[in-house]
Amino acid sequence: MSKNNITDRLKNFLFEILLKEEGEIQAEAWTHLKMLDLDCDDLSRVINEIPFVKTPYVDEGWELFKTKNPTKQDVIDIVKCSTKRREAETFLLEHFELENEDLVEVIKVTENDELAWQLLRRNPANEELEAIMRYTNLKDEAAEELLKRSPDNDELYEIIENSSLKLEAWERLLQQGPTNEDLERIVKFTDLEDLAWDYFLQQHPTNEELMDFVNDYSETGRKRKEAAQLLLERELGMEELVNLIREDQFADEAWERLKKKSPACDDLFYLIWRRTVKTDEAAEWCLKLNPDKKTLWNILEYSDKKDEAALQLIQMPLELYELADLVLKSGSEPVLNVLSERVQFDRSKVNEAELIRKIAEKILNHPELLNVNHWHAGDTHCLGGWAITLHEQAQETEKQFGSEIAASLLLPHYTHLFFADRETVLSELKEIME
Amino acid sequence: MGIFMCQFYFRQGFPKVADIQKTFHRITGLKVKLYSNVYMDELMTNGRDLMYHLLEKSEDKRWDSLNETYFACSGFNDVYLDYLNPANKTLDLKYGAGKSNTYFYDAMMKTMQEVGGVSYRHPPFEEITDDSIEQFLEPYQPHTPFWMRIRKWDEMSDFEKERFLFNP
Repeated sequence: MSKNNITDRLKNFLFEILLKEEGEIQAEAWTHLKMLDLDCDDLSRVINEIPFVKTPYVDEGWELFKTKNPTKQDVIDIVKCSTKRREAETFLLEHFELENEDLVEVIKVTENDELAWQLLRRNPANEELEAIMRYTNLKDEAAEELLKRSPDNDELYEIIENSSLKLEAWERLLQQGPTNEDLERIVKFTDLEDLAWDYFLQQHPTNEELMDFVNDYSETGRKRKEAAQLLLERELGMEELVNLIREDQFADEAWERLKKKSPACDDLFYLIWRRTVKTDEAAEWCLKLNPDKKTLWNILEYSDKKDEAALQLIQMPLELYELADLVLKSGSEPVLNVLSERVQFDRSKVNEAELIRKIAEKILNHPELLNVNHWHAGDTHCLGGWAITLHEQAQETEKQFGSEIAASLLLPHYTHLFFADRETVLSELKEIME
Repeated sequence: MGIFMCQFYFRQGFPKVADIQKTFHRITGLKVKLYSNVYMDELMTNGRDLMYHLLEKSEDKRWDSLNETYFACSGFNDVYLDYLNPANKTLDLKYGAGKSNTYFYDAMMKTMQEVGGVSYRHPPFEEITDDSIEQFLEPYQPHTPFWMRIRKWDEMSDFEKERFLFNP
């Protein structure tokens, strides 16, 4: 094993202490570290805020760092990541000849106007001018320089977004012919919103381009209503109508138009699943269409038409686990009958009202006996767990088919409390006892 | 065949492997071990945080795939520790599902949350920081069906065990 390898491992060991411990042990680790001929990489770990936590030895580490003949990139890295940013920046300017790309790297972090001036005087490339516009106060100076050249549409957009020479850039953009994509971002992100919108409309945007405003991924909300209204004046496909409903833009009108197109269950699946303003209407529509199992589960899960969907589901061949899921969503009598028959549990001897009152009394007198996170945990149980504990026949069912089925057959009208939080369970039990 | 992945954020820093093992045993009644092809230095890992050292051994300290580092539990497919990033205190668990049983993976997710992790869904290719991650966190709700179903393996009925079989 080489000496270097041992030194590196020792350094790592001490660094771990330095970064994770505090007080005397940390101070001792630092003392030992300093004896190990630390290089700039090592010292960066002491000075930089990331990737590790900040140590109390930043100042001392920085002083040491300067004595180790750091390279230009070493110092730039400190500028980018450390609380010693300003000191490192000064050091950088005093000791190194900086290329344009170095200046840009530093400007992006420090937003230093003086450096931006330096860069401006060096005939910077177009993308370097863009950096000056974005990160410093010399926006107009950079924009003016860029306008003297032949900026492309992207560069003109940067001028519009960042400088006060936006109108000049806008005129130039019109001469060059903006795409609808160019106009869309000007509407969404700059203060030439109305100008760009008018021009966008003159360019006959497609449905898809208008829908981008409705979807509003940028979350600016700009021209959303206007785009939706324009779309409704056109011939729209089912997907587009579903999208308008999903985004809650003129949903009533869109739904009426959608119905006229006689949508199938698959066309409405998304509308139900996303819990839109028309979820229940869409579920009701599907229930009339002899829906398949997938659609019925979707309705059961996401709409208010649970019992109706459950009634149709139990006409189909179901696995036991599906029945177990079903009874948690809909405790209607037909569902319970099918389930109890499958697991051969005699419900006739269960008095649900009496059982829930018995549990409520027990828990309200001793709330510490309620543990909503576990079916059974020693002497504590969740609501469903308590029902099973107090019912011998159900304990057999639990052993064979699990807690959910056993508890659901005992308290079918309280399944929503099996997985509720503690406050909800206690509050509903109080209501039962009142 | 599919791959499951879950991301966790640890406000208080990564858990010790011993704590993960203890919590996993409390939840499942089973034993879990962490294996890695990353060479471990006894001096560095003696009684300390193993996960931290996994990262120390990797070249890129901010964001590194740890490859063959995985949790194993007898009778189940391994769960991989995919990324570990001390800068934002996050790690990912990955599980090649196939038609296998997801019990071990689900139980590892529950374990990670019970040792201080919070799961999150974050748009890919975006930098995560302590501040920005807050908006993506999904609070752990142990009383909900998914987590309530993960109980001690030997105390579940065959029917309950079968529900962990993944059907693509």
